[in-house]
Amino acid sequence: MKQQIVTKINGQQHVLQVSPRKTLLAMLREQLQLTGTKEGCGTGDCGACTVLLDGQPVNSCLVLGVEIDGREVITIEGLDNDGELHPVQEALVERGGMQCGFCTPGIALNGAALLQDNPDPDEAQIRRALAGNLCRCTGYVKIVEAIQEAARKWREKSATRTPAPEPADG
Amino acid sequence: MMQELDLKTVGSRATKVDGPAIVTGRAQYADDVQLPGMVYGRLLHNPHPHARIRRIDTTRALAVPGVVDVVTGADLPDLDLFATDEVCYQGQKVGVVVADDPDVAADALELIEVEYEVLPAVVDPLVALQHDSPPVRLDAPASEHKDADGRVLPNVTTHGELVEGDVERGFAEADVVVEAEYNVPFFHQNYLEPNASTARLEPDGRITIWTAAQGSFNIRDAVAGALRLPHGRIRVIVTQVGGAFGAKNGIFVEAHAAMLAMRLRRPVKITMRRDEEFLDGNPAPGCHVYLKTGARKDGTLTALEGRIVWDRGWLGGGGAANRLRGLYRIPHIKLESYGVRTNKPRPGAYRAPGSIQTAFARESNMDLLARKLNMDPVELRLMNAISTGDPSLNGTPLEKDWLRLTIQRTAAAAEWGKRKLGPNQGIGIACGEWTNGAGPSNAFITLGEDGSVTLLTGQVDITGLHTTLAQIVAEELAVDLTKVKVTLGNTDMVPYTALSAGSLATYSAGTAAREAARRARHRILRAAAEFLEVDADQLEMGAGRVVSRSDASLSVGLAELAASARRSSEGPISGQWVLGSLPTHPSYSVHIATVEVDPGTGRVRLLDLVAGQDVGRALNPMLVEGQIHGGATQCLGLGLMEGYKYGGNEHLLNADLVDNPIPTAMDVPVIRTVMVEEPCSDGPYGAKGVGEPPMIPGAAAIANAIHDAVGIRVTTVPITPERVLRVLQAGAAEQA
Repeated sequence: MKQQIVTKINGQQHVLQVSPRKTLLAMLREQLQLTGTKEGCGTGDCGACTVLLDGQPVNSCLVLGVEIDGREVITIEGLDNDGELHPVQEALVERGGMQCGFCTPGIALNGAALLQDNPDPDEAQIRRALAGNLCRCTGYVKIVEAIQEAARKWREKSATRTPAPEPADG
Repeated sequence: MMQELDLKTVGSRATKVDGPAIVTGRAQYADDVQLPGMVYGRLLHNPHPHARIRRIDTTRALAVPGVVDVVTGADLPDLDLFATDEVCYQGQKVGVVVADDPDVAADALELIEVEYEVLPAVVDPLVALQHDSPPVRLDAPASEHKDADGRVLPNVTTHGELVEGDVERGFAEADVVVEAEYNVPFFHQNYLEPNASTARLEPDGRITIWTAAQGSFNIRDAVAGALRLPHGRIRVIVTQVGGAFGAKNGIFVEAHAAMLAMRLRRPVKITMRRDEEFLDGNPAPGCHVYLKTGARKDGTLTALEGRIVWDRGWLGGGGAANRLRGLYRIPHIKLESYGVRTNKPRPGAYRAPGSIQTAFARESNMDLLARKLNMDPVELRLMNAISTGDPSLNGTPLEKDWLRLTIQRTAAAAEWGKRKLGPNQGIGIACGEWTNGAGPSNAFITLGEDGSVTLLTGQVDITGLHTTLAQIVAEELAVDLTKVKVTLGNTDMVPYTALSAGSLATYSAGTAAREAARRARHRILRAAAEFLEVDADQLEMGAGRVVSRSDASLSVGLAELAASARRSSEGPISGQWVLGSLPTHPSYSVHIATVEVDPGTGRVRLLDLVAGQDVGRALNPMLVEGQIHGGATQCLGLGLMEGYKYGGNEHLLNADLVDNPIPTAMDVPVIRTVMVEEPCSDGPYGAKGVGEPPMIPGAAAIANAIHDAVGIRVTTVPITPERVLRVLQAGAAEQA
C-alpha cells in the first residue's frame, strides 16, 4: 500500500506516492531518477548515499522514503546554485579531490554541511566530518585540501554577502 | 636531470575533464542506467563453503506477485552460469530471481528452497596443501602433484621452481642468514561502486550491455564465451567506472544479465550488494611465504631461498615466486611456488597483483637482515639495488638508475636518519617494483568545424586517463585544453583495445593519442598551406590557429580550416593511430612510514608516510599524486586493518565494510609524495605507468617501522592491535 507524502526536494515541492518499504535512497534513484545519490553498501557504512535532510547529512539508505513527509531534502543535483558550483564542488574539481567519483556526491554534500556549521574548520575537524564517507581512490589527501580551499572561498563569499538583518528582540 | 621538453599542457595540473559531471552527480555509472520496461535480477548465493545441492524448488518464489522469472542451473543445461550439483565456496551463484521491483526480487529469493548436503571444506592454504586435506572440489581432475612421500596432494594445482646459481653455495658464502614466515590473507579491492550490469536485446537480435569495467572488449569476449555466442552478437558500453583496481577486468554479472535479457526480451539490470562483492567477487589472493636471505658481513647479498603457497580459491591456478626477487643483486636463488585450491571465491587482480604480497615478505626480510648486520636499512638496499645495465625483474637491462634514485630521494625527503623519534615511535622503509604493460590501444582524432577537437578511444578512463589524453592532444595541436573532447568508444566503434589495467592505459593510449594528434597536425598544416598558399614548413600552430612564421598577418583559424577541408580533395581533417605494443620498463616505489605503537593496546598509529615513485614523467602531476596517495592508502589498509577472516566452520566472518574496514579520513596521515622524473625511452614523453607501483611497499614499510618502534616483528597482515599485543607478549615471555 503506497503512502502519500509531501516533500521538498532540491527546492521543488513534490507530492509522491511512496511504498513504505522503500528507502529514501531507492525513492530518489528509482522513482525520481535522481541517480547522483549513490549506493555503496546499503548498510550505512560508506556514506556514498549522503543527502541533506533538513540541512543535516544523513545516509539515505538508512532513511525510509515515507520519513521525509513534510521535510526538505537536498541531493547532489541540488547543491549548485543554478549551474554555479558550490565552493566545495568547485574546490573538489580544482584540487583533484576525486578520482572515480563514486563517493564524491556524498563528500560534496557532507563538506557543504560542514561549512554551514563551521566555516573555518581545521584539518582534524574536516577529517572527523568526513570519517563516515569512504573513498577508495584518493587517500583523502586532496579531498581534505579541497575542503580547506572551499572553506576559504566560502568565508570570502559570506564576507561579501549583504549581512542579514538583526533579528528582532523577543 | 630530466630531459627538457618544451611542454605547455602536458605536465600541467589540469583538472579532470569529467570533474564537473562527477561533482554535480550527472556522471552516469553502471547502476544509473535506467531503460523503459526494465526488470531487476537478484542472485541467490550458496551459504556453505562446500556442499552438494540435493534439490532446488522455485515454486514459491515464482508465485510472488511481481516476479517475472526464476532461473537456476537446471533451466540452462548448456551453460555454466549457476552451480547445479556441487558448490565449492560460500557465495557461489545457484539461481536468480527477476522481478519488476528489486525489493520484490529480494523477497522472492528467500522463497527459493535449496536443500544442501554439507561437505568438508578447507580455507587455509597450508591445510589445503597437505595430502590429507579434504578435497575442495569433488569434480576436479585428479591432482598430478605429490608430496615427498609420494602421496597425492588433492588441492595442489600448480608447482613451480625458479633457480638461479647455486643456492647452497650462496648460503655457504653468507655470514648472516635470516628467515621468517609471512602470511597475507585474501583482501578485497573494495571499489566504492558495487558491480551493476544492464542488458537489452536489440531489434536485430544483438545484445547491448552497459557495465562498469576496465575494458569493453574483455567483457564482450567473456560474455560471448559464457553464453556460447559469437562476439559480434554482443556490444558492450562501458559507463563511468566507480573504482575497479583490477577487479573489474573480468565479468561479474554481465553474462547473467545478458542471458536474462535474451530469455525475457526485456531489459534486465543486476546490481550486486556489498556483501555479494565480498562473497562472490574476485579479491586478491592470499599467500603464505617462507623466505630465507643470506649476506656477507659487509651486507652483500649472497642467497635467497623461499617457498610461496598461493591461495587460489576454488578453481585453483598458478602463482609466481619471481617477485620475491628482482630488486637486488642476488647471485644464488631458489624459489618454489605452489598454487592451491581452497573453498573460497576465485581471486582476481588487485593493483600490482602478486607484488604486494611478495614485497611484504621480501622487504621484511631485508629489514631483519639489516638489523642482524647492524646496518642501516637504506644503506643495505642501496648497496644491493640493481643499477643501470643490470637485468631488471623480467630480464631486460635497466635503462637508468631508477631504483637507487628513488630510494635516495625518498630517504632524503623523509629525512631518514635525521628524525628525532619519541618513545614507541619508529621508522621503516620498503621498496616495490612493477613493470607496466603495453597493449593494443587506439586514438581517432577529428577536427571540428567550430575549432574543437574530438578524440575517440577504446581505452577506458578509470581515474583520469581521458584528462591526460586531452592534455596530450591539446599539446600536440597547440589548442586550449577546453577545446578537446574525449569520447570512449564501445566495442562497435573502435578496434580491440586492451583493458585499462597493468598500469598500461596512459602508456599505451597516451602514445596512440600523441601519434594520432601528430598525424592530425600534419594534415592541418598541409590544409593551411593550401589555404594560405605558403609552404607547410613556413607554418606553425598556436592558440587554435595556424600562422606563418615569417608573416604573422598570414594565418587561419582551425575552425575555418576544418570547414574548408570539407570541400577539399583530402576531405575532413582527422588523424588516427592504432597501437600494437611498446617496449616497457620497470618502475619503482619506495615508502617510508613513521608509526607510533601503543604497547598497552597494540594500536599502531601511522604518523607519516613518504611515498616515492619513479614515474618517468608526470604528464599531470596532480593526477599522479592522486594515484600515489590512493595506492599508498590501500596498502596501509592491508597493512593495518583489511583482509578476509574465516571462522572455525570455514565461514567468512566479515563480508561488510565495518568488520572488513578500509581506511577512513581519520586513519590516513598526510602522505608526502616524491616523484622521481627520469624519463624512460618508450612511454609518451618518457612517462611510465603509475597506477600500481604505489600499492606495493606500504605494508612492509609499516611492519619495519613497528619493529623499529617496539622491537617486535609482525609477519602477518593486517597488523591489528591483537596481533601486535600477541607478539609483544610472546616477546616478553621469551625474555622472562
